[in-house]
Amino acid sequence: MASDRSEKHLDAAISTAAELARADEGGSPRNEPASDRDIVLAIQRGDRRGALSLCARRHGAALGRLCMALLGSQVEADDAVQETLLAAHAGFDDFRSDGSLRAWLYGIARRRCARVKERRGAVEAGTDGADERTADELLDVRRRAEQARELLERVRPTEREALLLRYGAELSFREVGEAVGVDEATARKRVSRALARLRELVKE
Amino acid sequence: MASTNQSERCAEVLEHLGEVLDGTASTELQGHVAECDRCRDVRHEAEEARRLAALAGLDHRPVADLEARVLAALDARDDAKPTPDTVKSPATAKSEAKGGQKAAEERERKTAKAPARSGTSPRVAVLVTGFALAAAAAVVVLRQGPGTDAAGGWSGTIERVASAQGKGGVLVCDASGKKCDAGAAGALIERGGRVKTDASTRVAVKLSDGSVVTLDRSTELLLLGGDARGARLSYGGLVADVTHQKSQARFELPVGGVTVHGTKFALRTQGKSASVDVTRGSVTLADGRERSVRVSEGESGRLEPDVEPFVEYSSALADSLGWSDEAFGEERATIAGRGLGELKARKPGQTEERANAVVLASHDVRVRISGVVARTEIEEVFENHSDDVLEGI
Repeated sequence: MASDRSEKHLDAAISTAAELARADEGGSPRNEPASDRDIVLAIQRGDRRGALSLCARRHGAALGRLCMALLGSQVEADDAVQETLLAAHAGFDDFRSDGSLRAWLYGIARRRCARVKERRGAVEAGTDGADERTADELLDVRRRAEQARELLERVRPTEREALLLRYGAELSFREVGEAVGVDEATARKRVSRALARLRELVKE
Repeated sequence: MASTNQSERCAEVLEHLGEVLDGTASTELQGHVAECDRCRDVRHEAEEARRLAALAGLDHRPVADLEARVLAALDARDDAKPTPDTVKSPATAKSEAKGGQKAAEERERKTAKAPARSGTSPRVAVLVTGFALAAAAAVVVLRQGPGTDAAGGWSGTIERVASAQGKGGVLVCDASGKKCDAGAAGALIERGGRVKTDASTRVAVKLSDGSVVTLDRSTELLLLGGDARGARLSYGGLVADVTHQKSQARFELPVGGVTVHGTKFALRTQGKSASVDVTRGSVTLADGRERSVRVSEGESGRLEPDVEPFVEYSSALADSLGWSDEAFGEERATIAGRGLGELKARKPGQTEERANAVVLASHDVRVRISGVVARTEIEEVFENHSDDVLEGI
């Protein structure tokens, strides 16, 4: 019974996250009118600061979830999001308006997170010393999220990123391809392989 | 033969699991899944895998003032004077723009990690979080004007002394460390000087840039010489309200230290351990191995031996800072207790409460029970209806 409630709670949490992601896509939950189109227009008219501000407002939360999924650390995820947005600001001139802004932004975040993981080194990968100390405070979502990250650590990095971009950040396959710098067909394959691998890990 | 075809189809399902889940796989493949028990199971298990992927980042706590922080970090980066190496000629800039994605990645690599700054939000954001049915401290963040940079490092003046013995209990030493005198209100602490409190005395020190540091009992603070704002907390605890300036301030610890941009926090060190509880703005806490974490308002950063610095919710923020207000008797009389739905505020540096300055805008209670652990979070947002910068009491 408790398990059922827990499942419902998780479903609700996932559903809420999906709503947030959709809100990020089509307008914020607070009915702010900004859209990716507005950001692109701001970039085109040279309002880089305004574009950065809109990026933070519209994509900050979703970028945070992606970085959390990839890094497993709130602090590192926050830093990665900030660095992603600043890097985007520095590279607005290079953004091609015919591409997906989301894919471009998430591509930067993906590389930032990969770099953080590289810096950590192999020994520390996948561990977070603070978690044990706060174990008594862990909630269902957090516990499950950590379990999910542990399993995802055993999936190939390129496939894991593609999977999280597709189902964590809810990018389309085309956008996943743009974000990781491969064509759409390769993005589909990576996602499928990650799903197959994760499915095996869940069964273990 | 039919079996071979069947097996090939099953392999194809595995190769296209993503499309199968999305319903964008070919009609033939979808039809096969509908007919094949094994593939239906595979699909079911893949659904679970997809669910896991969606879960992996859900425990991230969104940063409430991300936009303000990023813009502040951008300002901080822009404030840095460009060097000849970083000033690009128009031709160079044009060439980079043509570089497309690679150029963007290159710029991304070059983008320095900018420090996070807080306190520039145009409006009040107050967060009160309670754990286990206990309301925690409240924090008010308001628009903060740019400070003026004071040249050089810190010197200071003792503003107030609170001693259980009625007098004495504070020692002020000069920069050489050879000459020490009993300190009293008005005593000067020169740059490079040291101030110590005994086991029954607390002291408030006003620094040369307007920052205020209140030292707890049994504490030693050294004002570092040199041109940068800095001090070393050798042992004990303090509450610091550091003025915002372009240059950062630094509090060194026996192991590691805290970099401050302009904020209020409680800092305590004991042996190789240390903690910092932030009530306004954010600080960067680093250990002796250059590993660091950012600690934002409402959070507690910890340094422990052989462990990376880490951050957790500060469930006792009021207690961490409360003693600094209560140390000097008169404030206790002027500040009444607070409760849910209520926030008292005052101007930084003043003792009197600003009546009706902040009002409750929203109130949200979440109770989560997991096994034997019950967690109650109370989030209240208050708005500042005055034109002044205020802090929660």
